[in-house]
Amino acid sequence: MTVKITKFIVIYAFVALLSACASTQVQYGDAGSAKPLVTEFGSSDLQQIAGSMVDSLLTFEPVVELTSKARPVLLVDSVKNKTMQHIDTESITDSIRAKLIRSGKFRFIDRTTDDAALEEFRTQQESGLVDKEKAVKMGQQFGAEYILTSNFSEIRQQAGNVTDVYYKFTMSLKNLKTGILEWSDEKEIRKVSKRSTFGG
Amino acid sequence: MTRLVALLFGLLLISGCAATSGIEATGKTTWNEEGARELSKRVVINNGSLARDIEVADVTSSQVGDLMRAQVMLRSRDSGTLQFQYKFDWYDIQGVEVVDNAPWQPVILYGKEAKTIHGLGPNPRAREFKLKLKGTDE
Repeated sequence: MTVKITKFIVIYAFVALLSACASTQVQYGDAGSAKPLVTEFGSSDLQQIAGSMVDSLLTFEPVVELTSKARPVLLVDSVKNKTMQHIDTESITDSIRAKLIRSGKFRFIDRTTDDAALEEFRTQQESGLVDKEKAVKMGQQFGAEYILTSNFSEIRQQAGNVTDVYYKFTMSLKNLKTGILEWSDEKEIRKVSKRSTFGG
Repeated sequence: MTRLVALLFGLLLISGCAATSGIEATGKTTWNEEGARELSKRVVINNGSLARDIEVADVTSSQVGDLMRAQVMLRSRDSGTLQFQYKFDWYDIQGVEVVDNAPWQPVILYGKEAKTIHGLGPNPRAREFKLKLKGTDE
């Protein structure tokens, strides 16, 4: 009798374990979570880079002085992706730009939307639909005073079951008039993955 | 057979026992009668498990231009390596949250190590901060 009960408990426990493994659960996750899943570039890495770059730029003493008098006009250049991965680098610069705009310290020029702006200008000037007095005049836009440039690189090492990936994101602020690099900083991220023989 | 039963139940228990834990440290900028800046500090410990391993050794703040900068020194009480996440939340002078969408930042503390972590207010309205700590698996 005791053996029968024990067998029943063993089977029940196995079923409970297996059913726990097989279930699929969908739930909302924390968009800002820093829990790494793989060594590939992930959302947390993107957010860490954007946060670190913005904090560094806003606390750099000459930049603090510069932004205390006026809101300089910036242009963000596309990131030079030197990694082996296909990364949406525009997403990194978009995050950096959004954070800088939120600080209220800078103004930005976005060249990626110029085609749409030109189309609207043409409509206003040539279509005859818009009152000439109220149409936006061409040739009055601001030019960027500074340009934010960035490089992104990785060093990948693999030995047996261990994969070690080192990421480096470097960003610089260049004065377009003088050519001087007013600020530069880098953010390093290291991710290590170990594949275990059991349960991996 | 009895050992196998014990092992299976042990596995079931372990898989279902991922407890959440956290620490909160807050700092608020106020001005005294002479107009000098003062920082009031508060440490809230929600759960003992992380608080046993990490001590909030110091909470300070400074002004960078018109932005508030928070600095918190954390000290490990553990002799092993601790991995956890931190995040600063920001509030204005009336206690209304200044939305930052800041992510959780990973941090590693080696045995008995003390480390300083920094946070920068998202804009000049931010005058109070709250530091939140949690484990890496949450």
